[in-house]
Amino acid sequence: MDEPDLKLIKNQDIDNQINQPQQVEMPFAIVDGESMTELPSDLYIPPVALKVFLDTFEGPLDLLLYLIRKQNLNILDVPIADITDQYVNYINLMKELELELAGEYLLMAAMLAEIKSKMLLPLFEEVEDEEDPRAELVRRLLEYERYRAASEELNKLQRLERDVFITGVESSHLAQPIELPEIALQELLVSFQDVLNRAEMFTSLHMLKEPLSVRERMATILEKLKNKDFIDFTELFDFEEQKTGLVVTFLAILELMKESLIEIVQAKDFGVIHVKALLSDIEKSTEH
Amino acid sequence: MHDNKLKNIIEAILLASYEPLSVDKLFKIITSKEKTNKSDILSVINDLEKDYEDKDIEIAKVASGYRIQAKSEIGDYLNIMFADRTPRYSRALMETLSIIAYRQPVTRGDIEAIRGVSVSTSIMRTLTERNWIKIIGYRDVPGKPAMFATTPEFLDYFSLQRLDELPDLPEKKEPMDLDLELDGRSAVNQDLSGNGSEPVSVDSNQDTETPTIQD
Repeated sequence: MDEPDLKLIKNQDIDNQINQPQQVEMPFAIVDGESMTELPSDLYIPPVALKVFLDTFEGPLDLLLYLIRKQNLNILDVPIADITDQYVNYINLMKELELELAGEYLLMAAMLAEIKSKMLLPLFEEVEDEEDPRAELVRRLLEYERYRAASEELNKLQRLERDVFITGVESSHLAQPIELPEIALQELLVSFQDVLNRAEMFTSLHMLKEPLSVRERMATILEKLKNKDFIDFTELFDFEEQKTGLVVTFLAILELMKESLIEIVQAKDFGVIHVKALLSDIEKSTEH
Repeated sequence: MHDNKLKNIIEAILLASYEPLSVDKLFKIITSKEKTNKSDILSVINDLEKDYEDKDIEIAKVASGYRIQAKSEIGDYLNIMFADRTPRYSRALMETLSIIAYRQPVTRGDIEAIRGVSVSTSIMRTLTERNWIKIIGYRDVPGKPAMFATTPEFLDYFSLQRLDELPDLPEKKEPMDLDLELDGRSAVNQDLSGNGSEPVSVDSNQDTETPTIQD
């Protein structure tokens, strides 16, 4: 591995090398036949490079796997103390470099510390079921590693826009008939009815003043007719009003007819239509 | 219909289409104008496949049907042409996507449990916008978390026809040797380190673990 080895060699490890010569640190490089277990003190790693390197980890599990794999350690038998120390060193480094340190990293540090402390306690052989405190962590590491490998495989699949490309011939110059959706009028009405019904549920909460009231317009018309004998039908309309206003006026006329308050007369075919109030009823209607 | 005519029509339709077309769809399109049947369409597609053997385009069968695509051999050229348009996806996105692909239906919680980091909203948005994943329901547990699954478009994009064509997920490993403890652990180490005689006690073993070398 030529990646920067950031592991700090601890005193214990050095003592260890003296007492048990066979238990040596995994060399991270071999230079001229000599294995290197420590970074040369004059090897300078620019902080930016380190930052880029640290930034590539996809979370604590990823970082742990890196630490384990980097030293060819057996994932099923992780030296938890070593790994914890290295892990914490990385965390500190991340802090120093002001990388955004997600809570998950700290959680993992706590978990490692917990496992480490459990491992330090003597194990009683009679407790049969006691599981290795590392088991859960190892299980998670293994599971994560599976999916990480799977994602690498997925990445190798022939992918559109990278490995293969959709071909296309221009067809926009060909006139394409616009397909109108086929909707039966009936359906449209039913759904509109639905909308109206729903809208009604809301409007019932408000007392809205109707801006154009047919009732009010009826009164106005009767007022206009009051002092006149006959009036031209068209005169009842105020042409400066919007369409709705005109419709309301027309509705008012129809309503007045229905209530027999006015009379509509046409002297001859295509002639002027005249409107006449049925005087006896005027008083009654305006009282409404 | 004459075979050659049908072939030309199908070729043009496939070339003009932005998405893969199934035989059913091709049939529906063509039959509205000309009499044809599905087995003819299929055999014409086979003919086209043969026609393209010497060319740098090919007919690919993916989840949603057939599409004509540029062969991967000229991907390098096209990558230069499309340099600024080739989307790149982060490792985090690919990991999230593979967990959804292999473990569907999954919730965000499932993904988080495996990856050990919270699921990024922007990754989920990208995956949804690309139409690779969709919500297929809500798990009946407190909080009613959404369950995600992959779509046919996902398969199309990765040139797959079915989910089981995904590369095999590495076999599940169980840390079964772990709880052997004491003797078990030292025995393994002894073999590798040649330290057969020395019994290793648990408490002193912790900080001086012998690295187990794997092949």
